Amino acid sequence: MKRLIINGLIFIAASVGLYLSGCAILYYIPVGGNPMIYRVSQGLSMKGGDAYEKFEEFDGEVDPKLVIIGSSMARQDYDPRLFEKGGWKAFNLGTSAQSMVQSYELARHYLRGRKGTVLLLDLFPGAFYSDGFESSSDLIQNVSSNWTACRIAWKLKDIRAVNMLTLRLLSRGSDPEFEDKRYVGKGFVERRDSVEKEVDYQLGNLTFRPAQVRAFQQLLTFCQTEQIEVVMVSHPLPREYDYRKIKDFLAEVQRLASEVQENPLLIDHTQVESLHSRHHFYDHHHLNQAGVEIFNPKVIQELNDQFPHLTEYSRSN
Amino acid sequence: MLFNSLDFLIFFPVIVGLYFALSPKYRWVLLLGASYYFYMCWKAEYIILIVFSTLVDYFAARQMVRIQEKKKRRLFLYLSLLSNLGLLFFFKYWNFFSGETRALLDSWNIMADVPTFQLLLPVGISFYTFQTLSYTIDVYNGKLEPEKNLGRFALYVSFFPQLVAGPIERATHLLPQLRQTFDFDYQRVVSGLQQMLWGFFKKVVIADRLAVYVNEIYASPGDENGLALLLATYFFAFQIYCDFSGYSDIAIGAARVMGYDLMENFRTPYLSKSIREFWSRWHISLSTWFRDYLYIPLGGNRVPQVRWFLNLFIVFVVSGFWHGANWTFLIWGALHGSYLVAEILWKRLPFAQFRGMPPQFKSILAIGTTFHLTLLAWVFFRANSLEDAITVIRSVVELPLTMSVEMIRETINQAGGLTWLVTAFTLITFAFADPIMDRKIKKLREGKPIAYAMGIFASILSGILILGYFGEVEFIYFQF
Repeated sequence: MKRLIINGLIFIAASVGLYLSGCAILYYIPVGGNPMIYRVSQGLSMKGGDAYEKFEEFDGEVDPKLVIIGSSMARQDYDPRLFEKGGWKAFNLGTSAQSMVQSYELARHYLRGRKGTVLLLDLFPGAFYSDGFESSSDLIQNVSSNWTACRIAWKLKDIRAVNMLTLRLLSRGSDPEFEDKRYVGKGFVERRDSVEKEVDYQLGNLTFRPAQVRAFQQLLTFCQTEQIEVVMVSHPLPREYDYRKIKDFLAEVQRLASEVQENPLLIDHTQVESLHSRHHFYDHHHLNQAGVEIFNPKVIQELNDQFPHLTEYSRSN
Repeated sequence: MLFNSLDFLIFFPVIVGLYFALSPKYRWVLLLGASYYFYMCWKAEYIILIVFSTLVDYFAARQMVRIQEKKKRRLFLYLSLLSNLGLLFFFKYWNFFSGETRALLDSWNIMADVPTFQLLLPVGISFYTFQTLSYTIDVYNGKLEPEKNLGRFALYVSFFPQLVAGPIERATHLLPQLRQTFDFDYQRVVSGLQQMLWGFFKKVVIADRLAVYVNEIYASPGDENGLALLLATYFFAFQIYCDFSGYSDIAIGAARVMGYDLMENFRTPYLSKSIREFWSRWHISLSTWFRDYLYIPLGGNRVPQVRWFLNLFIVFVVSGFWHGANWTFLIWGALHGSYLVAEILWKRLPFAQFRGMPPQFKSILAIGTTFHLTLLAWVFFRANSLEDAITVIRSVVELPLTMSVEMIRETINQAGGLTWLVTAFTLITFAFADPIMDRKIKKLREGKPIAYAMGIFASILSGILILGYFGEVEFIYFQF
C-alpha cells in the first residue's frame, strides 16, 4: 500500500507536469490567429469581450448605487446610462447564461461591503435550470478575482473546469484576445438590430435545479447580511411566449425567496404592451436599444417608488 | 452511473478502499450493495428486474440438482429461459413486434388494436439476462454446481464493473472467483488502473469526439454529400471500437483492481484477415456465448453443409436482433452471416489462395477486405432506418461520379481541424497503441514493471484532460 501511495504521488506529479506543459505548448502555438488550445480542448472561452471589460471596469468603480446581475438578458436589457439619467448610478454585471450559482459568487466578491447598494436581480428561467457550463467558461476566464474564478470552477463539478483554470493561469497578464465592439461601458452591451429571421418562441420545461435554488437563497441571505436591498425583475418577453409558464416560474421564485426573506420584492415586467416582438427585440428574447429605452424608464420608476431615500442619496452624489 | 462521470471517480476509490479494509468474509456484501447502488443511480425501480432474474435463476438451478428426473429438470430450465427471455422480449422487442404486426394487418385491411407500451429499456438487460441464462444452462448440462449462497449469486448477476455492458461472464469463470479472497496486490492494482485509464482515453478522447461528427452526418444522410457519409462511416467504425473496447477496458481494469479477472472482449479486431477471425476478436464474450448456447445446440458444423450454413446465418441474425429491435440490426447480422458463408465458399476456390503474391501484400489485402466488409455492415448498424442506410450506400457508391474539389473542401470544413487530429489518434490507437498497451499491461501483471510506463500513462492522463470530450456521453452498448 505504501508503494502504491508513493508511486501514485509521483504519477500525479508527473501527470500535472505533463499536463501543464501540454497546455502551455497548445496555448503558445497559434492556429488561424488563435491559440491552438481553443481548437483541441472542449468548451474553453477566450479572454476578452464585454465580460473581461466589465469586471476590469467594476474594480475601479466608485460606489454604484444599483448593481444589475443576471444572464444576457440582464446584460442587454438594462442600460446604466438610462438609469444614471433617472437618478441611479448603476453598473451592469450581467453575463451570458449566468446561472444562480455564478450570480451568487459574483455578488460575494463584488458586493461585499457595499452596504446600501440595491441589487437588481434579473430573473431568467435558464439561470435556475442550467448546469452553468457555458457561462462558467466565460466567467472563469474573465472575472477579475482569482478566488472567485476558483470558486466558480469548483462549483461547476466538471472536469473541464481544470482546463478553464489552467487557461486562466496561462493567459494571466496577456492582453485580451478579442473585444466586443457593442460594449459601451458600465457593463452594458448595446444592440440596435431587430428580429429579421423566423424565431422560435417555445419555452422548454422549467425545472429547478437544487444547486441553483440553493445558490439563489444563499444570494438573498448574503444580501440581507450585507444590508443590500434586492429587487427581482422579470424582463419583457415577446407576446408570442406562453406567459402562463413564466407566471408559474415567477410564483415559484417568489415562494423560494419567501423562505429566506420577508416580503421579497419581485417586479413582473414580462408583459409590456408597448413592446413590439420584432421592432423592440433583436432575437427571441433580448431587447434591442429601442426596446431598452421603453423598458428601462418603467424599472427606474419602480425603483424610485420603492427606494425614494436611495434615489435622493444617489442624486445628491 | 456512467464510468465517465465524476460520480464514478468518487464511487470507485471509495468502494475499493472499503473492499480492502473489510474482512474478506463480508466483501461480497459490500460489492453487492455497491453494484445495486451503481445500477439504481440510473433508474432505481428497474433493480426489481435484476432481483427477479436473480431469484428465478437461483431457485431454478437449485431445483435442477435436487430433481433426478430429466423431464422435470427441463421444466426448471424452461422456467429460467421463459422468465429471462420474457423480460427481454417485453422490454426490448414488444413494441417492435406490435408495430410490425399492426403494419402487416393494416396492409391486409384488418383493423386490430395491438397495444404498445411507453417503456424505457432497462440498461444492460441484454447483458445480465444472457449472463444469468448461461448459469442455468450450465447447471442443467451438469457443467456447474449451483451456487448455494444467494447473495454471492446475486453478485455474479450484478457485479458492477460489467453489469451494464459486459463482458458477459460465464458462471464457471466468475463465480469461483467471487468465492475466493484476494489480498491487496500492488502489481494487479496498478495494471488494473492503467487499463482503466487506457479505456477512458479511448472513450472520451477518441470515441466521443468522433461521435460529434458521426451523429451530425448520420442525423440526416439525405442532406449530406457522399464523401461526408463515407468519412462518417469510417469514423463510426473507430468510434464504436473505441467506445465499446474502452468500456471493456474500464470494466476489466476495475475488476482487476479488486482481484477479479474478467474475460478479454476485444483483440485488435480491425487487424483481422477474415470475417471468421474478426468474430474471434470482436465482442468475444458475446460471440462465444452464441457459439456455446446457440450455434453448438443447433448442430454447429457437424451437420450437412446446407444446415451448417443455415446455422451460421441464424446465429448472426439472432446476434443482430440481440443488439436492437430494428430491421437495421437484423440486416447487420444477416450481412455478417452471409459474409461467413461466402468466405467458406470463397476459400474453396483455387484462385482464392493468391499463390505467388508476397505474404505481406496478401495480409494487407485480407485485412483491408475484411475491414471494408465490416464497414459496409456498420452502415446498417449506425443508420437510424433502412432508408437512411440505403441513402448512405447509394451516395457512397455514386461518389466517383459526384466527387468535386468543392465537395472535398466542404467536407474538410465540416469535419473541422480537430476531427482530423482525432482521426490521427484513432489510427494510431487502432494500428499500434492498443497492442502495445496490451503488452505493457500484461508485462506489469507478470511483475515486470517498465520504467517508462509511468511516463506513458501520465501522458495518457494529461491527454484525457486536455483533449477529452466530456459531458457524460453514454456508451453505445448501453442501449443494448
